[in-house]
Amino acid sequence: MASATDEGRRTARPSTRPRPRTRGGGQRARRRGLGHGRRGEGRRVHRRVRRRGLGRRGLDRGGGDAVGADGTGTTDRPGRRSATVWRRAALAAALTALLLGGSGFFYAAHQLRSAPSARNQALTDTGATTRVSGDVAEGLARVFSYTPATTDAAERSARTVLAGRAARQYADLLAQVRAKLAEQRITLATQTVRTGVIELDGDSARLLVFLDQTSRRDKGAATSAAAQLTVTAKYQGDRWQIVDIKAR
Amino acid sequence: MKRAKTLTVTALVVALGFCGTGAWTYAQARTDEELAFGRERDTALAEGRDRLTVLNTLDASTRERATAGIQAWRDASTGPLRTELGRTAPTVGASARATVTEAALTALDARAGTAKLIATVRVDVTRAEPPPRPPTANAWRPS
Repeated sequence: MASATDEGRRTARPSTRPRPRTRGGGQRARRRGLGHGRRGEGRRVHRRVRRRGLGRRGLDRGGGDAVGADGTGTTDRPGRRSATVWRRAALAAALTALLLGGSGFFYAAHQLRSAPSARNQALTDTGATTRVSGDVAEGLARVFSYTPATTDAAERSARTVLAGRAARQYADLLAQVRAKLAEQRITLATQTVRTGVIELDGDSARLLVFLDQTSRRDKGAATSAAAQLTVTAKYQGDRWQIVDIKAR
Repeated sequence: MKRAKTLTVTALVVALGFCGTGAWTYAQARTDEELAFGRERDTALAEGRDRLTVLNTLDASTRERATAGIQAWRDASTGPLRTELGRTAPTVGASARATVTEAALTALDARAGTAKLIATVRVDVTRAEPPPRPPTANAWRPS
């Protein structure tokens, strides 16, 4: 636009430039002049364009910014205010979303880590699992294997193997059978066949134990029986002690 | 104005950091191998209990039910046991209803997808009801 008017003016103005020989050539030259221009002209064009551009920008500054920012084309002042409101709302929303999201993530992570499956260390903590299985298996075999002559030894080992309710149950049982053991010369041998840790949480554990028990009366034939026990154990001192035994 | 902007930027950065840390913590927990193993163990135990219940239960009051029961056995088993159970012929007879009273895993190999489980099962057996007799009233019967 600016160039076109400039060209028009240029043609109207008396020129010191040598006239082009032909019309066509002149046009070509003029056209070329449009593109490249002579130095002075080009600069003038530029200047004018710049001035116009500035002017437009200066004009637009009134409401143009607001229109651009909120896109609704509202009038000047309320537009700018609503833009700030919008920006604040967006900021608040972003902050809220981020904080909520972060909290959600932390909560979900906590849920994962405190789930029952996470608290139960059976098999996940192989060392502790082996330890409790070994202690319980060995303890049961020791306590439930005796001959009439070794009931005292069995009772002594019961003091380290058993505790709480299990210890009381065992004492009652032994008191009942002691006389019979001596009289009928009963021997009992117990072997732990399988031990499965159901739950292991820190210093308490619950296990399912399968036992094979072979009892022999005097010199009679041996009779075997299987026993299934649910055992509750507590870690006390430096070993796992059986605190409860339930037959299954 | 400048202070407000700094404050805004700081708040956004802090919130972003909080959210990022949360996401990271969650990702850590989600991909924790020990936690995953624990979940796998509980799944194996629960499913093992279910399968064991199915395998010790059979409603043989009718032939159809026995067939369905044996199909359930096949669905609950795999490998040689599945083949063996599949050969069982459905017959009408005593029915069994199982309840797993206690179960524990003794081994779990998550990579191989195998677990060893021990359990105590209570099985209630009901004898087969006598088969319904055809109506005999007021009818001539060949002798």
